[in-house]
Amino acid sequence: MLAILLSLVTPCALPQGAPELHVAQADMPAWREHLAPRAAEVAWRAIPWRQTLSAGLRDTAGSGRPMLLWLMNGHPLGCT
Amino acid sequence: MGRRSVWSDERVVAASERFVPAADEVWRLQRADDPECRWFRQAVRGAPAPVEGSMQGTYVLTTSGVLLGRINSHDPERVLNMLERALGKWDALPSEDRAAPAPHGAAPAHRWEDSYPRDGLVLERWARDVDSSPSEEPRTPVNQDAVWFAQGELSGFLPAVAAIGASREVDRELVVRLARFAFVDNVRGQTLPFSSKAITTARMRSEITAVDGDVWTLRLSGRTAAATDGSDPGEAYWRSERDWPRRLAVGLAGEARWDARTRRFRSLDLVAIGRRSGRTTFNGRSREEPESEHGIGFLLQIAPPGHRVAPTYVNLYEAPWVKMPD
Repeated sequence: MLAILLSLVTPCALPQGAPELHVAQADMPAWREHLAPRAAEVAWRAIPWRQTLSAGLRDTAGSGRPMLLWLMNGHPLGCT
Repeated sequence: MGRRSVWSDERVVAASERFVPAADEVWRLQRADDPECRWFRQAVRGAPAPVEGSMQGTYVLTTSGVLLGRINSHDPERVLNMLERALGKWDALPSEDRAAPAPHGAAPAHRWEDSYPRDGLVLERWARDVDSSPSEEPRTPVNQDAVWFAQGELSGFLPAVAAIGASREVDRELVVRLARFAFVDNVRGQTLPFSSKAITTARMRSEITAVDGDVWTLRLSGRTAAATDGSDPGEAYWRSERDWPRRLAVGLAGEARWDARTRRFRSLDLVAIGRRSGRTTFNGRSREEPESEHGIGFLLQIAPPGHRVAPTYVNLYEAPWVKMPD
């Protein structure tokens, strides 16, 4: 009963399974693998995006192709 | 996220080969008084005046300033249809439009990419929600950003002598840069940086664990913590709708290889694992209890060659090598 009451009045705290603030050096490779993007998460990198509008215009000139311009809030190739 | 649903579609990737693909940040193109931005608005809107709202999306343009198509959709089918229609319009254009040179008036007067530290340390940063163990299935999404250090700052990571066991505290201003701008909760979308006064802990130790000729192996360890009541947006371009409190603290572990002859890092892998709470306007945490804590992890690695997209808040680095606009 006490546990139920505490769960009702205690603000939502650290959920079970949240990590500690210490990273053992031995765990670093596993965390690196865990955090790195999977291939499907960065498939858009297969496209040779020019990284600015002006670079796109420069390379479009004389290419015989129009420019495909992808715009987002935050750079699409960075933090969006 | 849109970039996964559209640009990972094999048909869209194949279709992109019929174009010159380019990507850019839309906030600046909509609002800034820069020749590059005015050119964009003139081509898309027919007038160079700044535009409110968001013009996110995919556009097809000619160098002569003709808009052949635009769409804002995460649906590959709809994007493919737009691209096909745009190519039809391209084929119907007069040859002088298709052969137009790059417009002289579209060269940018200033971009943050002008400060790219060619001989320094260019890191890409990945951020995910995490549980207690790396053996769990990785959570999605993952988001990206960058961190830049100039060549002249790199000595701040290095012990004074090339000897196993030699160590030092990494220059605090370099660790603070990570804590303010890289270790922020933008897993689900853009967020604000932390202000300098929000940083309560910023420690990193660098110790040599091996020396092989000119190459030193460094072990990195430490901790950062930041807390704000939300009233200080950290001098960002925008503020949250409200002053939501937020906190973030991480432990650090990493390894780097420094080439003392070339004065460059050959590799650097740094993980930061910890907890966060709170929110900002756009970072996708509105359904959480405000005080609840959640796991978060970051990975920093040397960016691929040629990746020059500027860190989100490079304008706040307060570093002399960052070129500010006139």
